[in-house]
Amino acid sequence: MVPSARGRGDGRVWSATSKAGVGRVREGASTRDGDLCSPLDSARAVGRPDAGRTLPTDPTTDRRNRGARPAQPRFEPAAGLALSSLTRTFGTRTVVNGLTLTAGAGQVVGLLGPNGCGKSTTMKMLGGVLSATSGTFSLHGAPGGVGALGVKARTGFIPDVGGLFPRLSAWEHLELCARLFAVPNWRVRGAGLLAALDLDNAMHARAGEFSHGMSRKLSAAIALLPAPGLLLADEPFDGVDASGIDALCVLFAGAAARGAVVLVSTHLLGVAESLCDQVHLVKAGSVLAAGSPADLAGAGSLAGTYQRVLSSRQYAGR
Amino acid sequence: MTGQQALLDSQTLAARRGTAAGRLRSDVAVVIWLKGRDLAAMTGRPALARAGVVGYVLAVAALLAGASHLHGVAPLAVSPLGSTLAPLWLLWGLLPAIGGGGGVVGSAAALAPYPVRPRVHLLSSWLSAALDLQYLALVPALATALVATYGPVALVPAFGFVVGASAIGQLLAWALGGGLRPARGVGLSGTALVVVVVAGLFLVRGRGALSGLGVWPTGWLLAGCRAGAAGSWGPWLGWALVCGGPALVLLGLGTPLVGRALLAQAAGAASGAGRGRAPGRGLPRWPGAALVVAAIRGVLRSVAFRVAALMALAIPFVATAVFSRVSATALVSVALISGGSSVAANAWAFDEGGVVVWLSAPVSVVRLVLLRAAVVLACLGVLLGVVTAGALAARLPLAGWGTAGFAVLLLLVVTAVGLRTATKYPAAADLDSLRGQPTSPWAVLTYTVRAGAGAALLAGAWTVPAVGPVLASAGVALYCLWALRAVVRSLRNPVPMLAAFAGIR
Repeated sequence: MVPSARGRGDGRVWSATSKAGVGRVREGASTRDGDLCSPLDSARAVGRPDAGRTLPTDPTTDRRNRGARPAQPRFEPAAGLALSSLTRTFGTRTVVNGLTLTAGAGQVVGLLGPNGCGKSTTMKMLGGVLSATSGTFSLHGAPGGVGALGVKARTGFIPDVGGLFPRLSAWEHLELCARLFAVPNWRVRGAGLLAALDLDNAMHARAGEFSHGMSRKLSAAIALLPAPGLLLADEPFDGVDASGIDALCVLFAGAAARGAVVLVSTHLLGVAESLCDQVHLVKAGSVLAAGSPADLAGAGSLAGTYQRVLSSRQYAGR
Repeated sequence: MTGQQALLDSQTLAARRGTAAGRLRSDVAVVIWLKGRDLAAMTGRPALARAGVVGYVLAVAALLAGASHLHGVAPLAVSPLGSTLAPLWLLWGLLPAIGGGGGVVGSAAALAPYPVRPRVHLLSSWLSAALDLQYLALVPALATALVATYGPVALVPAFGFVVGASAIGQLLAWALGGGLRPARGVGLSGTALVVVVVAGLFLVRGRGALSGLGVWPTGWLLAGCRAGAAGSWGPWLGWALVCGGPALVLLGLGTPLVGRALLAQAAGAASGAGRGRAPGRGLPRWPGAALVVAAIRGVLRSVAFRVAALMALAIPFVATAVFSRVSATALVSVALISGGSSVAANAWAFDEGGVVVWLSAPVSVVRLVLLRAAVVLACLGVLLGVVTAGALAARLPLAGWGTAGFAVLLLLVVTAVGLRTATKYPAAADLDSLRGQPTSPWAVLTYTVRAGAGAALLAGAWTVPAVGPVLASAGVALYCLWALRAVVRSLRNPVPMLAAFAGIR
């Protein structure tokens, strides 16, 4: 089930309806209280069997209250993610070609594009796994990169493949993450995340025994555990079941509500349309079009714009 | 009818491929094409692979021609030939079974989705084994020594000997694959079986338990060679056929054995394993220690490491069973170099996709490398402990502090060499085929040559009175610094590593 809540300022909120403890997001519901809407709280909320209850929200970051913000928040370079002419070449092949984009704190930004367009390479550079050939990026004003441990310590990374030790259990993964990122009270947070992602029954099973979808959800739980300031989700919905996609969307929205920059790459345009505040259409390592999903869709749909932009002659040479 | 059953039903595919000879040609062509692609993929450049094959063939031809010429001038008298051949025969005959290697696992996994006959699996794994370094490096040496001693006529019995030994390896590996629990891994079960048999032989017969190997497989080879050199062509051909006899058995029994193993593997996939597993112990609070403990846990839990530990346990028994005298230094060297080929030279392969966690962790690259080195050291230390236990059980005399110092320094060298190899040639495969996927020959050569040379230099320096240990320690420290610095440099651009593990979820 694809969540249908939209970006900020449209008055709709994330909420969870659940049959078996897994969140399903719907729009239009109002919040009941004004508690913190952290990923953990979201997780707890969606993990509870009280179907139909809405997520607790933060009055300062509640998507409902984003009417106070502009639909496209004014970007301040010091408070968010800024990529400046980020380029990565492999030999003679340029995979990411001068990528420039900005995302404010609390924004969910989608990277959409065909296979091999440089989304994963961009994510790896932002995650400090790969170095950039040229260009820079910064998080809240601090320059990032392979050696930028301060930025790495505030970054949660869901890689497109890998990211798991096949012979460690889900719980051991969370513990390792907690130790690496010095996460306080990680047991409660971890249990909440596993419950939200329907992994609580498999918490002591080893990752090598997980299905593909379970591996993706565990990667997400690990990335979300330290409550990162920058969440990089590289095709996080790949192989995940419908309720898992809903739960991930709730968690990502919760992270954004807490003030994190969430960068998501996906091929699920419907999910991107619902989840993201900004969408960047990428081809051959360059951004062809960017804007809110509503702006890009215009009178049609985001999928229509996606097809039109990526196949248009204007960009054929890219 | 399931896919596995369909591929075992010879009629299913037979009707579509014409005559039996045509099907055989087709199968052989498929296998050769697959192996050709493997070779090209290993080097990364098809042209380089072709040049490598041509160069290898020319080099072997030149070696044999030189040996033949030498025999014509003055026949070589290689007295320890018999004692050298026995370990070779053991290696070729047992390694596919105890590692699950020899291409058996790789062949079954790679070809499983395709509608191929068991015969293709068998040919593929047999050819994979023959293209492994243990054959590519040792067969020319063996053939050269035999030709120099007995003349070119020795090539035929030598061919029978090698083919026979490798056929025994295939027979054992596929039989274990079908008969033991595939979910636990052919390697682990096979190794356990071999260790039990060897240890049992040792307990029953004591030292020299396998001395008979010098009579029946290797003695037949030498008898065939001598007959050929004397011009007795009947015995010459007879002994060659006796040496190669296991290959005929494999041709007769191989296909049903492979079919049985494939069905067992298809049925043996465990589902929902580990659901009821008890929680592991906690990790240390310090981030670096947590990374190290988590990584050690991953290595110790792997089938590959357990196979390596069993092999380490077997080394003292095999050594005492085959050789009349074994030095503690040689035992430590063999154990550490062979253990290092599993643990150190595959350092990152144990983490597989978890490598991304290491790279994205808020820990500096230098510290990451040092932490990884600590992981390798700890795991090799466990193997060393297992070898020591085996040596004590086999009643091998272990020297005192001198050997301990040598072992520590060699431990450091093997760690550095292995880590360098694992980072420069990262592969989801295994350097020593423990997971049945042989890695590139360059990686194997690099590791073997560096570790072997390091051990030889260290052993040489160690014997120098008074200053030997100091010199050796200084040399090891310098080498480790150089190697770890190179690893740090490689990790700053981890594209090959990410590419190597990209196929692993």
